Amino acid sequence: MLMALLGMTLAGCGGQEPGAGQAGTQLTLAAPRDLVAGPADPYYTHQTLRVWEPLVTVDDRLRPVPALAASWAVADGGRRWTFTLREGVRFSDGTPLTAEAAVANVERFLRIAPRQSAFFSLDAGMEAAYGKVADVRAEGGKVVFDLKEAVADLPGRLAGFYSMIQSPKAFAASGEFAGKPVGTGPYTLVEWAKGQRAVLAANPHYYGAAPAYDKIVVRVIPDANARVAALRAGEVDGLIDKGALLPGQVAAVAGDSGFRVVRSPSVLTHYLTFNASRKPFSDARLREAADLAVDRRAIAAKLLAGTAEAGAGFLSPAFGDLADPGITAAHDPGRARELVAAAGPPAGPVTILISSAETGQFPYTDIAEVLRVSLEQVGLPAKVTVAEATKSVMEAGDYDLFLSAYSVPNGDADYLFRRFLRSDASWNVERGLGYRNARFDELVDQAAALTDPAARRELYHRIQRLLATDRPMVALAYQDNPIVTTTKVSGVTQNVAYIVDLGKLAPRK
Amino acid sequence: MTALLLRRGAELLLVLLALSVLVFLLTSLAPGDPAEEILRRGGIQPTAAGVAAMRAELGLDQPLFSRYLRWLRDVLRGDLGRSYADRSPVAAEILTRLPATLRLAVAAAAVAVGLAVLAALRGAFRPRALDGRALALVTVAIAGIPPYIVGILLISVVAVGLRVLPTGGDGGPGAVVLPALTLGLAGAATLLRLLRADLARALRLPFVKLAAVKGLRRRRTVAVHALRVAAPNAITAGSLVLAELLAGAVVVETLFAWPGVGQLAVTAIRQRDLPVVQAYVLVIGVATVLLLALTELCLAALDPRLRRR
Amino acid sequence: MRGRAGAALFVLVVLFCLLTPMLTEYDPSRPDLGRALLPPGPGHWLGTDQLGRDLLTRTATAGRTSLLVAFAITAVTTALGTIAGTAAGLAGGLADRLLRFAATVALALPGLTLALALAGVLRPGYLTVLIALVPLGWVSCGLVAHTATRQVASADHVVAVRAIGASPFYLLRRTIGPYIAGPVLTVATADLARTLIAVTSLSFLGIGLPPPDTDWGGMVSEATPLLVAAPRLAVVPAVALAVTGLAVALVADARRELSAL
Repeated sequence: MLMALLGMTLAGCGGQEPGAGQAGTQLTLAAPRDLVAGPADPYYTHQTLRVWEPLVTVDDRLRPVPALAASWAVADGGRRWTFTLREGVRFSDGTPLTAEAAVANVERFLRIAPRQSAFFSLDAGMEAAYGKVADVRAEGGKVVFDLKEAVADLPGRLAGFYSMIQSPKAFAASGEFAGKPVGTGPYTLVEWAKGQRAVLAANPHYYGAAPAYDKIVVRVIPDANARVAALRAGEVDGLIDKGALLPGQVAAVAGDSGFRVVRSPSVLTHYLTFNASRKPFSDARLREAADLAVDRRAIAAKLLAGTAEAGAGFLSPAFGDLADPGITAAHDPGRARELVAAAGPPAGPVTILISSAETGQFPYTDIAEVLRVSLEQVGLPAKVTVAEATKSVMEAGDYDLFLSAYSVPNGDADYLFRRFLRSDASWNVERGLGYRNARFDELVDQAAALTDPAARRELYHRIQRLLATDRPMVALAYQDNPIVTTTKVSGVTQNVAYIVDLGKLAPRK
Repeated sequence: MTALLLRRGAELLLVLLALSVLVFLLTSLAPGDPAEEILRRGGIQPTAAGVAAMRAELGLDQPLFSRYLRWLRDVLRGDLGRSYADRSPVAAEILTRLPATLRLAVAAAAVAVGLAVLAALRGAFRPRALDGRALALVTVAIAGIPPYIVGILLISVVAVGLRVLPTGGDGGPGAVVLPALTLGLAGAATLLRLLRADLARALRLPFVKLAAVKGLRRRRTVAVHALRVAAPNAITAGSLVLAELLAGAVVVETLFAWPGVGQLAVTAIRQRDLPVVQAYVLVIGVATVLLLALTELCLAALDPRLRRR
Repeated sequence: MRGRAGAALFVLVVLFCLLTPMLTEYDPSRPDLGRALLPPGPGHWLGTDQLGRDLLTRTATAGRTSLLVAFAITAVTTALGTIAGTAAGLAGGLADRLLRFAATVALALPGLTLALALAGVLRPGYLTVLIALVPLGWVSCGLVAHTATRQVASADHVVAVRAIGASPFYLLRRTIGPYIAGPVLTVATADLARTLIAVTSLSFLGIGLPPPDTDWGGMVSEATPLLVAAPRLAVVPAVALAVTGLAVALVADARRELSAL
């Protein structure tokens, strides 16, 4: 009894027992990184906190869906896009959302770009989203974009961060934040301790159903084990955001009846990048051999502990019908051995490069070990190199196979091809991939200008088939993003860009 | 005394100067171009002109020596540069996190000193008593075990298993207990060893023996006379341990999600955020040097014999 | 008594690390996903890890690395410290001051963070761990060698031997060497314990040795995500490390009491 009392007192003075007493009014979550970046960041907070909302967001297949824009229409063959705003929306300072306010936000972006962000920089992607804009204006309560060239998927390119809308009063004339963010979401940011916690309070002016919690505290716990310990000790009610749970932790947490794990596909894909500008992988046969040697199913099921699906095509299933379901990746060590024999065994061991920045998030050391042995078994001796700064290593050309994860939070396939694999793509050129294919470049350019969805889809499928034979980069696994809450919390959903709708969370009755 | 102060002061300045050179070199000689790294951090494709402008802004176009002077001038003004990651001023970030680290270090020092004094006194009163020897053995044993293992164990048993204390973070007074225990246990052994040796020596000193012969109770002999003789060394050792704890906090802060400068340093190292790493090493280094100098000064003021050295 | 128990324990650990890989049929660095996470049983006494590697064999192999790296680094720092300390102690004057100065600066730097920063700047590997831990590791040994040399150098018999014109090497070998050997060895033992912790801490923070090589700290670090699902993966190397640390600490403690340092 005394111990229990002591325990309660300690827990009480630690302020660590959420939900005790006034259940339903406060929720405590933890995330691996700070979801608030501060006034120097173009967005101030991450989209997932629901302090602000964008015009357009994405669904679970990376398709653009309405958020603050109720609908949109395209005219003039993709050169004019008109967004109709949702009605009755107010910012958290009580002022109404108008088309003028939305335009002011776009103009601010254009003014301050390029600008780095902790979440989604106003850079090359910004160029893809707004680079072709000739004019943006408010017209009859609608937002109208006039473009210099046709763009097939402007809503997709704007989805998420790039179409953030905040009250123009939130910004100073320079485009910097004047104070706290002022958005339209169900919560407002009331307190922020950098790198430690963000405190959100329900927004009284929210247009939708009032959120169930008065207050949400999002703690920052960078260490994965400390995060799970806090959850298991009852200090937090859930873990959210990218990499909330390590793959190895999922089974144990899911096995506990007090917790509910929500797994949803994410935009994150693990890729193997080949260095085709030097031997041995300048030989397409050896790239194919390495590809065939890898047992993707085992890696996804065992090493990623079932939190991932075996990869095949370049675009993950999260890209919806843009991903080509016809592409398969075989595991055939016998055929791989034949290919190595035909091409002649390499002079020295191939170097598998991983980044120590990523080993904390995914079991890359283990995957690299399995890759090493798989390659050795088909006659390609290998060694593993871990580097802190992989970029300089790759620029020096000192690798053969690079294992790393990438994500595109707004479903812009064009951005992915243009940034990684086009002959002039920064990734391709600087990291010495040595991939040059004029046909590929041409197809990418064609697809970007097509506005007919079916024709565009067909073109993207052709591009992926081309990549499946050329193999500059191959998809190893498509990663899910498991998050977890206690069973006392309901309404947990997550989209492919790791965004949990905090507004829908509610105590379970 | 004045001469000593002046000489020690000059030495201190030299040490600080050497420290600053080392810290400066550590990051300026690291591979990679900081200008490019800053520009690229947000995924922005840097142009040659952009890199040149950033290099000029950072003063990287100047020779190493003048860069050092500029850096030193800024540091003396309290400007520790800007983080590569988010371009925020490093000094402010360190300043907001320093209290947490100090709180942890002081709490850990309390644990270490408490444990060491307890074990040492127990050993001096009753050298053959089992509990004193067991305490000493445990202290020595724990010093051989890496703090992260002790920490993981404490988290699993006390915080997750029994749920009596928080797993970490900065939530309230209870939160400091486990990290302080982890860190303090690691420091207790060094302290205990020194205290024990000094107490044993002090007990052999003539005036302490005299006190015992005069019929003073052993407890009083040890506590009043011997401990006072042993104190200066213990204070030196204590400040050394405190310095060690300040530096050793990196692992423990990471493990317990403790929002101090150690956690900041580990995150910065992982992100190659060199200005933050540089500032951390500098701040902890200067703090240690000052702490040691201050200890020496205090002891000299207390004990006239030390002044002549 | 305590010292002897520590020494015996240490010999046991070394024997375990050296002999186990010879006695088992498993390759500690060959993944076999079909046998992943097997519980302890007759084939695998401690079960297998997430890659299907035998935990017992792997712990022993990792132990070899841990011990070898800790030994190598301690050997280097002890040699450096002894040379610097004795030289400064014999030369006196400026050399003396320089040594104290260098020691003060080295003591002021936050060792582990500096090591982390260096390891982060350089590529992970044995050499990096060496470079990261040596610059600050020599200090304790250097100071002790220095003090002991100063003490013995002013002793009458040494002054006498010097006066009759003995060569410095004779001096070192016959009079100073034997005197400082004890204290230096004591510090070296304590340094070994410290280095063992520092090396494994680097690995634990993810900046250690490149795979497939690993040490105990690396094993604990790799196993922490599975702490709930398969605690033995972290517990076994942690216990091995704790036992080794305990053994070395006991020996160091006993030696210190003897030499009353």
